[in-house]
Amino acid sequence: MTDGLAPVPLGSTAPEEVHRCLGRLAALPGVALAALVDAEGFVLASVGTPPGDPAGPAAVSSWLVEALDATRELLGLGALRAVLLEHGDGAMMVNPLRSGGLLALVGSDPGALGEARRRIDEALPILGRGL
Amino acid sequence: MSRTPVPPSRASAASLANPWAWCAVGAGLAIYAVLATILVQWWVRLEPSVPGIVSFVAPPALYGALVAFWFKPLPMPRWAIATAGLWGAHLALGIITVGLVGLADGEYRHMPGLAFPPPPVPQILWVPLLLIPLRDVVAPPAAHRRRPPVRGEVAKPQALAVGAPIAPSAPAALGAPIVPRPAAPLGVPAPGPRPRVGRGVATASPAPAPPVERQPSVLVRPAPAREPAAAPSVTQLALDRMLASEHEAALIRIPFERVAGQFPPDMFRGSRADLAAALREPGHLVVPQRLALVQLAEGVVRVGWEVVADQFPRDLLAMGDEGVKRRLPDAQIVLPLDEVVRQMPGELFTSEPGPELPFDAEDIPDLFLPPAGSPAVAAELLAPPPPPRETVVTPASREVESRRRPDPRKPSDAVTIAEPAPIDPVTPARAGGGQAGAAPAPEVVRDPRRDLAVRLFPLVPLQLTSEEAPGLSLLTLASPRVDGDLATAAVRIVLSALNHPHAPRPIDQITLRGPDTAVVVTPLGHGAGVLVVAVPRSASLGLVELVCRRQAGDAGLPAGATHAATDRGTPSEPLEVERDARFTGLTSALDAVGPLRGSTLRDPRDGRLLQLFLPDGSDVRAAGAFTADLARALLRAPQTGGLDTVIVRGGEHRMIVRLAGAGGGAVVAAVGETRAPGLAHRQVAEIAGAVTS
Repeated sequence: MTDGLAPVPLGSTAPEEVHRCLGRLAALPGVALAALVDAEGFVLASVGTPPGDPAGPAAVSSWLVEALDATRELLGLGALRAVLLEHGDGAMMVNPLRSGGLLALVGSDPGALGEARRRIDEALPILGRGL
Repeated sequence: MSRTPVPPSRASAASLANPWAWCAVGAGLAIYAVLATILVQWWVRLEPSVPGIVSFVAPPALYGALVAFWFKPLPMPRWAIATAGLWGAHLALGIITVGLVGLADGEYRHMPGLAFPPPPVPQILWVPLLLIPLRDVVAPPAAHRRRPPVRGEVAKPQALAVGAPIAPSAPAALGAPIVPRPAAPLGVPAPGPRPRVGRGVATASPAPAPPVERQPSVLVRPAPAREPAAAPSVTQLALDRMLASEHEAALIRIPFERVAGQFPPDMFRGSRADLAAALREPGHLVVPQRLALVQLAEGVVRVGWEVVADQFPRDLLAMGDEGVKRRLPDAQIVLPLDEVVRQMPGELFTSEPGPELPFDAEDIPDLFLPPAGSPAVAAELLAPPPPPRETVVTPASREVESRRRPDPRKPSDAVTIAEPAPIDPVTPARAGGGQAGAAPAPEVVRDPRRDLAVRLFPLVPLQLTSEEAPGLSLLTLASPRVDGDLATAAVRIVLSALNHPHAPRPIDQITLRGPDTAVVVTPLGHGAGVLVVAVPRSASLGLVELVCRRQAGDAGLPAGATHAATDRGTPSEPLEVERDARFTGLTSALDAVGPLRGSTLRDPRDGRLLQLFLPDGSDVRAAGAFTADLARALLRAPQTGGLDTVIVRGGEHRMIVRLAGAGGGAVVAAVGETRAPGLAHRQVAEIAGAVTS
């Protein structure tokens, strides 16, 4: 053991910046939750108040992207950029990050998430570094 | 169906109300006056230098050609009226000009034949400017705005909401988005066959082709030039017919509550409920169907504030139109797609046969099964049929059953696994190792726990095993990719944790993690047993945990309960409290678990260092005793596959215990409530690495 124990940063982006970035996305109309999810489907950071447990969208998004990515690779398609899931209670959009994590947005309807999709491009590099 | 509130004349005469159009006319008139003055001052006679018949014929011919060119296609009566009107303006201006000049120059007054027809120049240069403000009077807006789309070009729906107010009777506004934009060339220079409508897909098209007769299609996908011309699909025909229809009365109604959240809260006076009730159509916003139709394929339907502004009672708005538009993103609101789609004609969504795949669909392997020829499948084919009394192999799993069968020769110091009980109603159990006739078959009862297991199969390929111990029922699901004994080893560890006198309560779930595998153990309640799922670490892990908890809850089983038949064990030895300030700073690295206080303990039995991060007021020694015993069980259990982390979940609280260093020379544990469990796991792992270094 050394005398110089110190917190280890988890990424090159400060957690405050990650939360600010998620906060901007969660503040968009119709977006209830913006969450950064790790590769196993657990929440790394989230902003917003989803109707239920935020663990649900996080877990589903991770599994969904993995399954779709396997299919995409099998069919020789290009890189998976986003998945939009619409269900009876709302919608969820998932964007894989290059570093292996995911950005999940939960909203009341897919139209609102479509609007948010415009704003995601600037957030993805920041959130990707945060992982 | 009611029409939108915009009166027809408002849109059709929009150009008349455009001040810039009249400014252009005025500026032209001023230039005309200056030009006429200059001509007179320089003694340039205004009398025609061309034969009189030319003065009669040339101006109306020119005006007629201009009208025909600008407003093509224009019905003949409208063309004639417009041309005559310009000609009339030409004559009037010429006569007035000659008259005014004659006042200053007496010679003009006495020149026979000069006043009528007036000289064609210079008013012939000004009269066409009248078409700018009069364009909406001369022709319906659609005639001069809806330029025929070029084959293969794609409309730009984003332009829709930015334009003028759109009403069913104002095709001009609706026509705006159909104005084609340059298409991205795809290397197909020649125009292909008729483009097909792709539902939900709007793509670039082949290189621009010369304008052809107007096609109302707005959603196209490129068609290879070699592809034979295909008959338009049902969807294409429906869309074309709807877009080509001049009847603009089709409307869709959006419940106001679905879009109310997009408006700034301070925009309204009073509550949103009052506002919704005061809308022109109470509770709903009305939007032209065409407006949504041309955007539908983009997956987003937006409308500008202008479209819906006059449906709001002005006295309930706290700001003007400009203020509202500044507060809305791009001055638009987004309509909920489900509401839009629900009100679209069903024929628009008829399924069409997809393109022929370049391969045989049967060649696509099942992603959730091991590839053919793998050892697992080969062993399954060679293995004898499994005894129905011991194991139920689900349809989703083709792993060899024998691999999962407990080895009776292996010692079992934590729990004794008795002969498994049957749970498959179609394969009645037989006592005595499955020997026929050894005992009468018991009554067939469907085990509800199997339903829990079956719901997990879409997540990962699992094999179901049911085992009974005195006072404990284990329902085990294991992936073919994990070691067959991992689940049993994990159960031993979990049982020691559940029965520990200092274990946190309640316990909803315990997850053991290694570098490559994880075992999720979920107590199902008194008498209902424990659900054990052993899976590789993958993107499904979070969902497996969640589904296990949900299924336990759906079954009405009290979460957090443990089985009642095992001894509680003996209390741990007293722990020594270390005073090591080096760890104090690490608490800030655990911000995902909330404010914690760091404590360092040492286990006198093996000298293991315990670094604990607990909320204020926690019993440090009790948590340390539990952590020490859990770490010891983790290290002593055989076949653990390198399990080094235990996560105990009870409600919103988590306890994360992580072995640190080779042989678990140190242990890091954090307890607290977290909304970011993934980050908490990582931070504990990072601290474990720091403690080891």
